[in-house]
Amino acid sequence: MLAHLTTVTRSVRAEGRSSKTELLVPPIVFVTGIVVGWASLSDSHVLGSGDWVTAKQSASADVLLHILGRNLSVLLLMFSGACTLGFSTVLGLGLLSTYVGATFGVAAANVGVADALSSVMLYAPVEFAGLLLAATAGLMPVTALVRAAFAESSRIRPVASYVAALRPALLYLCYSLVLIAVSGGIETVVILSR
Amino acid sequence: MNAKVQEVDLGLPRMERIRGRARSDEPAAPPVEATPRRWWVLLYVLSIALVAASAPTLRSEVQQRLAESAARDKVTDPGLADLAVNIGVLVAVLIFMLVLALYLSLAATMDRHIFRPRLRVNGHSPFGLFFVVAACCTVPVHAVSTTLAIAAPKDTPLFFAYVIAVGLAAPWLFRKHWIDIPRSKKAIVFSSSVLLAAASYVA
Repeated sequence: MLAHLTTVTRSVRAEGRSSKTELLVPPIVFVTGIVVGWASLSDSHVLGSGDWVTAKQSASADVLLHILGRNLSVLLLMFSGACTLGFSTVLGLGLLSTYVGATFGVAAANVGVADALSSVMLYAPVEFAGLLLAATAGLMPVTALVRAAFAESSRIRPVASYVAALRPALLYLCYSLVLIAVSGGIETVVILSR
Repeated sequence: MNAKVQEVDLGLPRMERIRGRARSDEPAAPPVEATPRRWWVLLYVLSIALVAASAPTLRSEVQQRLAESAARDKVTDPGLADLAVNIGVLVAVLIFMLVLALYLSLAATMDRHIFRPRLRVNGHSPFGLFFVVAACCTVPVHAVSTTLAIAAPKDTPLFFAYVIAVGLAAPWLFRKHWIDIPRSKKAIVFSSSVLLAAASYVA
C-alpha cells in the first residue's frame, strides 16, 4: 500500500498539484497543537470516567462500531476542507491536535508518561496517520489553487487546479479510511483485552 | 503603435487567453511577466512573523475578554481557561495563515490578469500594482499592531481610511502605464485596486 501511495504522490507532484512541502503542513500543525494542548493541561490531576470503561462492558462489535463512528466523524471533518477552501480542515486540525495534547497531558500527569504512552501506542500512530492523511487530502485542493496562482505559467488556472486536485484528494481519503478501520480494529482488541 | 501596445499589455485579457487557449488565426500571446514568486513568499513570511510576534498581545486580549464575559463562571479551572485561550490563539493564527495565502493568491491572479505593467527595483525584480496594494495593506498594518500592542487594528476607522488611500494611491505609481488608456479601463484599474485593498480586512 505504501508503494502505491508513493506512486500516487509522485503522479500528483508531476501534475504540479502538490508537493512534499504541502504534505508536511498537517503534521506540523498537529504537533504544534499537541504541544499547546499538553502544555496547557500538564498540571491537571483530574481523572474522568473514560469511554473505554463503559465500552469494556459492551460486546466487541459495539465497541468497534463506537470507535469507528467516532473516528469516522473526525476523519470526515479533516477531509471537509476539500469543499470549504481548507477552512474546516484547519479548524478541525487545530481543535483535534490541542484536544489530543490536552487529554494526553492529563493522562500523563495522572499515570505517568510511560503508562499513558503504552496505553495508546498500539493504535494511536495508525489512527493519527489516517487522520493526518485525511487532513492532507482536505488541504490538497486549496494548496493546488494557491500553487496555481503563483505558477510560472499563466495558463494554469487556480479554480481548475482546485477541481483537478479533488480526484487525488479522494484517493487519499480512501487510504485514510483503510488506516482508520485498521486502527479501530486494533483499538477494539486493546480495549477488550484490558 | 502605442495604442496597440497598450491594448496588448494593459487591456483585460480575452476569454481565450484566460482559458489558456489561443485563436488559431492569431499569434500566441507573449508570456506575461509575473511578479516573482519570491516577493510573494517574502510578503507572506513577513506577515506571518509579525502576526506570530503579536500573539502575546492577542492572548492577553482574549484572556481579558474571557474574564469580562459571562463564561468566566463556567470555566473555574485555571488550566481549562488557559487551554481555551491557547486553542483560540492557535486556531486564530492557523486560520490567518490560510486566509493570507488565499488573499495573496487573489492578488497574484489580479496582478497577472487585470493590470500587467511592472515597476522594477534597480532594473531587476519586477513587481505589479496588486503586489504593491497587498504589501501596503498587510505588512504595515501588522507591524503597527505588533509595535503598539494593538490586538485588533482593523476595527478602527483609521484602518479603513488607510486601505482606501492605498487603493487609490497605488495606481499612481503606474501612472505612465494607464494615463492614455480608455476611461472605462482606468475605472477598472482603480476599482480593482480599491477592492483588493478593502479585502485586506480579512487578511
